[in-house]
Amino acid sequence: MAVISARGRLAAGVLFVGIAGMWLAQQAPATTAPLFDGVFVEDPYRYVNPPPGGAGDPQPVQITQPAAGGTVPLIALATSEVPPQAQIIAEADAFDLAGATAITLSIAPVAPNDPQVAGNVYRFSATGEAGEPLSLHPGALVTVVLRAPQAGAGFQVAHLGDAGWTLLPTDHGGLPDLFSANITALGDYAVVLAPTASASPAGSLAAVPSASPAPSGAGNPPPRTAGPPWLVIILGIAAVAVGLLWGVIGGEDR
Amino acid sequence: MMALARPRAASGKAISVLAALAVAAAVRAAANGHSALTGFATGGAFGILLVAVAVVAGWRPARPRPSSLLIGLLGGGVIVATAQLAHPVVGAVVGMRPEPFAVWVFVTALVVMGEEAVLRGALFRATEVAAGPIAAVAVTSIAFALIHVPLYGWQVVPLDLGVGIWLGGLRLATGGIAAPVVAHLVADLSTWWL
Repeated sequence: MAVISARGRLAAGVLFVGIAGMWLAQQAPATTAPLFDGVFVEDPYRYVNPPPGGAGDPQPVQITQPAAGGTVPLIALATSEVPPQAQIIAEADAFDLAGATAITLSIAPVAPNDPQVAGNVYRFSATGEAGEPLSLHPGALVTVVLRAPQAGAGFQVAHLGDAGWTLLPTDHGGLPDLFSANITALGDYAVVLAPTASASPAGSLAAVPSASPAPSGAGNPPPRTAGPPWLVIILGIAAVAVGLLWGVIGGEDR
Repeated sequence: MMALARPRAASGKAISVLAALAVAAAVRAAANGHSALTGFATGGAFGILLVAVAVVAGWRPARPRPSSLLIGLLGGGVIVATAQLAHPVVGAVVGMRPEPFAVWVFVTALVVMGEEAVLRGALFRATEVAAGPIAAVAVTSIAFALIHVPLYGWQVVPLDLGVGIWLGGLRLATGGIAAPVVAHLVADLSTWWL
């Protein structure tokens, strides 16, 4: 009879905890394939109205998908930047086709119209083959992911409605500057700086009317310039020295 | 006396390795920049630096056993499978896939090798000597999660913690880093297609 060593039993237990942890962690909303490391490349944010030194010319994107059996399969569409500045993921049968046999889904960047918008506004739209606008089925799971020009606390995805911007419950989109939210209607969406950094439920940016004229540079903070984290480096070097000294004093195990 | 000195020396080594890891991760994030060129350069330098840290800390490469490589392949498959089962369709859109592919694979492999040599190699061994295998899994898993924060943000911590424990389990099960290296590499490289 095979005997499993204590170390083998421990390894089995650790592996079980690990797989349970992975599974539980991924029950939270996520919109990126997990990357446990590799090469991290992030294009500069492209603005409709670039600030001095900022990149411009963000491109719209669209996809046409035929309906099969009266429904449209899952559609995922993203703009061309790395990572994309705007994405939409719509589950199968998310759109009310109203007789259309194909759907064209579009994402177009729009200039921001108030200073709390971080980056561009993105217009999500869907049309049938005759150009008629299509809407979402009530309760359909549709997620938008928007990128802010920089990472930061207090950012939320917001929808521009008749009464101005409405904050949506927002999750991280897989990177520090990506934010995702489930939506119930197409239209204009943006990442906005919420009134309080801790605010996460849906709310309204009542103090900022959507029709306010855009001040110079609205929504376009200057590109981030991060310097070396000197404090971390100094503390780290000090800790390395302390550790080495501890090891020398302790002796052995070199 | 010797029995007491050995864990203390191992603790010192573990602290040094952790600190070097923190510095390397912070510097990498600061230097990464926005282009593929700087991403490749800092990623490659990060991987080489970590291998050097591991060697200085006493880790030495060894010929991997075929069974470890196979277990690593299976372990990587499990990581990919959990991600795909939890979110079967949404991974493909973001596209953190800097061209050219061959360079991306090479640099990703360097980063994986460096992280595993330090974490599941030098740090695991030092912590195990100092405080036992459970502490070794815990410390290396927490370190694995935290070194990704400067580049990817705090939201990666829960998942990376789970993956770190899984990779620590592979290290415990096989006795070396070959299985964690292969599993880690499979998980990272799969993002090109998923």
